[in-house]
Amino acid sequence: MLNNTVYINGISVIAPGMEDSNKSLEILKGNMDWHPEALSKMTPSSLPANEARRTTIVIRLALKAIDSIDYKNDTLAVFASSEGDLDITDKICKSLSTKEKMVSPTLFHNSVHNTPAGYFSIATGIQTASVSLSAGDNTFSAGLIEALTQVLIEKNDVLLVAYDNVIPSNLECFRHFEYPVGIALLLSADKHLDTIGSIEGSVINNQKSVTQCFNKSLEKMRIGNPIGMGLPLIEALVKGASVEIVIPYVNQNQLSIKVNNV
Amino acid sequence: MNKTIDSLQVTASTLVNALGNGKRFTLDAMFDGSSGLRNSSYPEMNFNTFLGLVDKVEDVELEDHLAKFSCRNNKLAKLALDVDNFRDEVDRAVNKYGKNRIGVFIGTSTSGIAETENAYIGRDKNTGKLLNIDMLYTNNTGSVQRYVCRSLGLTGVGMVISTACSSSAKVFASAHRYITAGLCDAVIVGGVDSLCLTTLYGFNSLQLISQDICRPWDKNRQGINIGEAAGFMLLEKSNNNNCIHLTGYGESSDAHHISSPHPEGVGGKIAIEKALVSSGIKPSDVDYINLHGTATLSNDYSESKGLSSAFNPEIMCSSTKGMTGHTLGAAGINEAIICTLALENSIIPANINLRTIDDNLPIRVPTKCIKQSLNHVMSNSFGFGGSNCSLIFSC
Repeated sequence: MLNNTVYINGISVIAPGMEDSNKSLEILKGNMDWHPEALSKMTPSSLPANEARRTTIVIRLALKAIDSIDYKNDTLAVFASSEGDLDITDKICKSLSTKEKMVSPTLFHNSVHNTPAGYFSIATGIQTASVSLSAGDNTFSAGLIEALTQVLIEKNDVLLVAYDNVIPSNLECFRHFEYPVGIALLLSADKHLDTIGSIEGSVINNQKSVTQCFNKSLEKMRIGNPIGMGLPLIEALVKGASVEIVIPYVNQNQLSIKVNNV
Repeated sequence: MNKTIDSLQVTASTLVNALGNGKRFTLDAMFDGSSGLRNSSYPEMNFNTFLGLVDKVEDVELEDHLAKFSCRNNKLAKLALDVDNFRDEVDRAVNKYGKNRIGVFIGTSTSGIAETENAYIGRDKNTGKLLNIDMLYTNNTGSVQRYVCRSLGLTGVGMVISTACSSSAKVFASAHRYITAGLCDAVIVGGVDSLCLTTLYGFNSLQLISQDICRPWDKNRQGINIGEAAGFMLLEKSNNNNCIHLTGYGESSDAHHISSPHPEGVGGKIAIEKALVSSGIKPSDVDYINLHGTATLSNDYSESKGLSSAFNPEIMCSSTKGMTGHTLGAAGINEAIICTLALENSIIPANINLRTIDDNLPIRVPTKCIKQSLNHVMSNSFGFGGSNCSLIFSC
């Protein structure tokens, strides 16, 4: 199992009512209740205007989550999203249900699961590898385990960004997310002066209770989007707590994360 | 040079594509140069092209208790699980390691989106309400990994990787890391991508689909033929030197354009060089490269440029997409298995459908198969978004 310590050197959460970093920090520390507000347009600073024009909410959600993180130009990247860009699926499927079936080329090339990863590498010029993954409702834990193995095996910093937007109205009756959520973590084998905390992850059989948010007002975000499952870990790191966080993982397993203040 | 990763033994594999259900059909084509591509139709498709369809996918019935996973993609997955003695090999591995110690890593690009397309096509004309679908079990990108786990009775780690056409090559890299980290003792890696209107009309809108049979590396190549495929491999820590092994992987990003490869193949070259370093071999040790070779103008040009800067011009390469079509998210596993068949049977498959040599491509390809003993072979996969992966198999 993964028994090596990995350091967290950057954290970011993007969600309705959490775009202001100071306010977000107070909510994550438990000093303030969370109240959802409409998300802004989320223009990521990393994208040139001509590229930004072609982006969708999902692409901007992922890139905005990374925006405030100070990563190196050889970082590996893990993009984790349960559903990818269903706004695009909705638009393409609408076109495909017409007689003409005219699919927009821009929509199509933005439709792949790794589109945000593509824009990230174009915006930053980073040519190291990224991976884009999904594991249904366990996508946050799957992304975190992938990031941990990359740090330990490839011996490189890894930027993890996990994100899912709400479901478009046509498809909402089949799958429902309460809020859009984006979470980014910078993981490293090295401890820095500004290291936020350390984690040790291990996969366990389903036997412990899943950790809830310490700030009870965040519970509806934790259970309202697969990426929300990462919030208790973010809270523990921000508070500098030394605790074990348990998150559901694939096949009824769990990811146990021992968080340590460093 | 010393290798930087441990080899993984390829214990078993299974493959279904347009050539037939089971590896032997693909092997036959590698010897006789036949193609599974046909000028065929697909429901609701109203333009002309060749397709690499797998026969009777729609007639497959999933296990009763897994019926909610029912969609073309998971049906295609079941076809592959059911041939090539694969389930027996997995059972043997379960007895050896335990069902929770075998990871499952699958690549797909469009998952079960065909179900969603049908839900829109069949929507109620008056209310606009879509036909009922279970999105988490069909459309969701992670669906096929859960289906494969449940169909095989496995309860270990894993996920779906979806990086367009490199998806089921990159699963090898992640799976290798999970074994090295001790998260599992063996892995099933694979790829499943099925025909759907989204890719047919999407690639058509980008003018990347050939009406003619696809002609990789040809001067007059006009684009891809879309194919579908499902394939799986069982990989274990190595204890048998007589087997074929995964000996290297390399991954990179182009950082160039969202749907066009870097014109000089820079990203592809980085992945190739990383794969060579990880396996500890020199470029001159590689006996054969299975090209990404999609038959688009830009891919074949960019790939040949990248290869010519990493290898000497005599390097033996071919694209097998003239036989199977471009199977997109399943291309990585489709061609990884072709590489292992090449090693096992001492054959370099022909680059079929090539009529006119393109003098702008610095790497030459054989139009007839070559019977020759092979030690190290490489498979390249490059995807939209500039996601590149190169694998090395050795015996």
